[in-house]
Amino acid sequence: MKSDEFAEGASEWPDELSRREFLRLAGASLALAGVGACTKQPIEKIVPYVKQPEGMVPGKPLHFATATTCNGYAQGIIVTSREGRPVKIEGNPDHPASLGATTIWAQADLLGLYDPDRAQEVMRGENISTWNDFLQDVDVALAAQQSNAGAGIHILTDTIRSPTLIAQLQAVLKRFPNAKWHRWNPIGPDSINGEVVVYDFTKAKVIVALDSDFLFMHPAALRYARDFALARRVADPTSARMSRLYVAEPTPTLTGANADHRIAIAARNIRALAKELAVRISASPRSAPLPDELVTFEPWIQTAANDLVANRGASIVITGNGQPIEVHDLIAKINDQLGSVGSTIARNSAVAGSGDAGPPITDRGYNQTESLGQLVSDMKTGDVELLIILGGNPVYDSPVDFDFASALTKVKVSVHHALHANETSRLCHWLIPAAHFLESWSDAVAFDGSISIVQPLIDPLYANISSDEMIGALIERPVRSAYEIVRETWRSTNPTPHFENDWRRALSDGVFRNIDFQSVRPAELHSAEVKTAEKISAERTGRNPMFLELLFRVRGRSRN
Amino acid sequence: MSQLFSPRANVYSRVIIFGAVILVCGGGWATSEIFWSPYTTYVAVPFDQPVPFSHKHHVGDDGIDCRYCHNSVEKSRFAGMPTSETCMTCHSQIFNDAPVLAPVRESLATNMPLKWTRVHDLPDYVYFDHSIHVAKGLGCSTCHGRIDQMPITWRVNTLYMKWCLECHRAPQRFVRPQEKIYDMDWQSSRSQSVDGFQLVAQYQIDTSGRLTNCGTCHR
Ligand code: HEC
Ligand code: HEC
Ligand code: HEC
Ligand code: HEC
Ligand code: HEC
Repeated sequence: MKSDEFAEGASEWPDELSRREFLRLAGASLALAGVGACTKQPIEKIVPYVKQPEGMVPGKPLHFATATTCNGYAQGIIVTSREGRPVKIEGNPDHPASLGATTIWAQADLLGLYDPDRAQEVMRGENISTWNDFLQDVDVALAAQQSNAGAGIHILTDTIRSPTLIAQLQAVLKRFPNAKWHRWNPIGPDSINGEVVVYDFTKAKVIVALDSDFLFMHPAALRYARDFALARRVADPTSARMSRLYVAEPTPTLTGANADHRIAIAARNIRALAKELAVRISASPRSAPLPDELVTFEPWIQTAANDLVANRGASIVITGNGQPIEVHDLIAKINDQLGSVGSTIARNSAVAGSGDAGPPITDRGYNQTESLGQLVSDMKTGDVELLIILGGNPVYDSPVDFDFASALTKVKVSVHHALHANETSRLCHWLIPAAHFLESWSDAVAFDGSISIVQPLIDPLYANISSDEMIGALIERPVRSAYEIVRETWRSTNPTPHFENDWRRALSDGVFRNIDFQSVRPAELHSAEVKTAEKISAERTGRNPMFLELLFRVRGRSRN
Repeated sequence: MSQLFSPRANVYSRVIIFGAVILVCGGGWATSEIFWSPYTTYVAVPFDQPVPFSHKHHVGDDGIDCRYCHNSVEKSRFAGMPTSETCMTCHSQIFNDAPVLAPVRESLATNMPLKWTRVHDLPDYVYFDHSIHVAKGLGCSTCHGRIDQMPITWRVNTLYMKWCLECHRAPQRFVRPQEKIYDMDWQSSRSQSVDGFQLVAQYQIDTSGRLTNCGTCHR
């Protein structure tokens, strides 16, 4: 037996207090606890408003539509507020990504708002400072950048999907053409294709999911789960048919648990599997024998392929973000061939999560690691004079060999804008406490491109600054409030006379504009890459049956 | 073998037995006295208020409606309290520089609310809702007494659970016609024993016993 598992003495009964003595005391406390009820009501205060806020009845809750984000994608929520305090989050039935449901993370967002460990003050090193002092510091730094078009300005962000924030960052790059905007998200890109793909699970008869947990770990999971369930519920057995779900996955997931046919397969073999599927649904005969690693899955592959072919135009093949871009392209090709694009699948590369305000931000081929590497080498040579880090914690989560921490010390003015002080904040000159999304104005795009305005339920609890105001500090004086900045984005792109009405409607419904999805037929977009994908899989190295595979799975939502 | 008890043991035992009985009864009586005394119930106890507000003047003499100041009493759990702005609608004209009203003016100027001392205060584990009681024909005076005669507000009822239940068990004894809710003079008449049941039926008050379920008030 291992006796030193616990701290010394922790597993022993201290002998001064015998067991009997302990029970006696416990009994006495129990008896006396009743006496605790013998209290009278203490004198309390009743505090009316100085001025009654418009539209509220004291004692009655109010409900506001706003949006939370799941890995950057909007999910509509309705927040209940009592006497000005948000107390409960539920789904927004009018929002396409919610339909009235919420995720566990959305439910927990309230705790983030009231978290006493949040960053509360603007900090300059160890000292409490103010936003105005910070602006003065920025002014000095920016003045030095006028001559070289902002070559010393670097901005590091997460993957961003707020149209307003993107527009602002574009404005920074326009004002300082040599400035650089780097994006780093340690758990991988969210939208690997750089285009928005929307699936309609209500119409799908056959679904093949290759390493995709679309029922749970997906920005549109709430919607997809609902749609999927709808297609599985058969009211009239004579006419309708239940959809069938085939799942191949390396780790057990909720989607796998709902599958009709599930196989457990290593993540690195998904590519071969996708390729095999592509071959079998095409008319051309197979050229090479089935690779060894797929032999055991022969029945699954054949049934799935037959089923897909038998249900042309009513199928969905989907893969997850853990898979490389080649697999995504292969899958896109399969879906094209099966004729599902336009019926069960809609694609829109125009939206690409950026809204109207800027170019797609998860652009194809953007290499985050490379970009971060570039930033680090610039920092090391002392070329970075003003570094703004929006959220995140690169000191902790960037690749170790970059040695981000020591590079950071060479930056002239470094600023971290974050909800919580972390390793990165500690090494930055300035810490600007970020506003929680329930405290600030913003906007967000849902999985299908529809836009929600994020409206605050409460004034910032501390000296919090929103991301829009933070970036505003680089381009304008005085820095407008987040409300003005967000409103201006949409007013300028909607110069209609009804804007005021549209805006009010958007705030009350929680959806600004439902993007009308014309499914775009993919041109020759994918063929080139698919070839390289084939080449890669052809170059498969020698087979080793005893691989150990290490998978990083995000069981939750990335911080945002 | 010697006697176990001395002759005096009889006396001791009597003293102890009767003493114990007296102690228990006396203790019980004292507890009950304290429990029902204004010390714990706050009945008829005047409180310190930031402004000596008089319902007697405002309601009794000037005839201002309760809802002018307690404007959510029909809509919400909470009866509502007048904002500093509400007081100033009148007091910017009358008594506009009376020293007693200084806290109100200051509140409006500094945007800091007045802090009244709660006269009626249920523990937080009890749920009470004004709107249902008003809608089902219970007048303010049934629970709050002759507010219109109070120069300073005090409590008329204990707000104990027993008090709530007395009515919840037999609402017919207290209900009144809807137009009399704000009538401070209303008294149950001789015919209440008949009218009461009629009103209970008319208001569709729940007589299934649900009103006395613990979960009605402790939810
Ligand atoms: C001019 C405004 C005004 C009017 C009209 C008014 N009240 Fe009030 N009421 C107040 C203010 C101010 C307080 C807080 C000070 C106090 O407790 O006396 C109060 C307190 C009370 C309280 C005690 C609240 C507590 O702290 O528990 C009750 C009960 C009450 N009012 C009932 C009534 C009723 C019933 C009427 C109508 C008959 C009425 N009030 C009319 C202003 C008003
Ligand atoms: C509808 C008009 C009106 C409103 C509203 C009003 N009052 Fe008055 N108040 C009066 C009048 C009239 C008098 C003079 C009463 C009298 O002397 O008969 C008065 C007198 C007073 C006095 C002087 C002392 C006294 O009772 O004679 C105080 C204190 C006072 N009010 C406090 C308040 C407060 C606090 C509020 C807000 C909760 C308030 N009043 C709201 C009309 C109003
Ligand atoms: C069934 C009994 C009952 C009736 C009828 C009633 N009240 Fe109350 N009232 C209470 C109780 C109990 C409280 C204490 C509530 C608490 O502490 O949460 C209270 C509290 C108040 C308060 C203090 C603010 C609050 O809501 O806590 C005001 C003001 C008040 N009542 C006004 C009125 C007026 C005006 C009416 C008539 C329309 C009225 N009440 C009718 C029982 C009653
Ligand atoms: C004078 C009578 C009376 C008194 C006193 C009274 N109530 Fe009521 N209460 C009623 C009546 C009548 C109803 C309406 C029942 C119905 O809807 O059918 C009611 C309803 C309620 C309800 C809503 C029940 C529901 O779910 O519909 C609650 C809660 C409640 N009372 C709590 C209290 C509490 C707490 C107290 C004591 C502080 C109290 N009441 C004192 C008469 C009274
Ligand atoms: C009509 C409303 C009502 C109903 C029904 C009701 N209660 Fe209560 N209860 C109250 C109120 C009001 C108080 C607060 C009394 C006080 O201030 O001491 C209370 C207090 C209590 C307390 C705390 C006593 C103390 O002094 O700590 C207990 C225990 C309790 N109730 C149990 C129950 C149980 C058990 C039931 C169901 C059989 C029940 N109550 C039903 C209104 C109600």
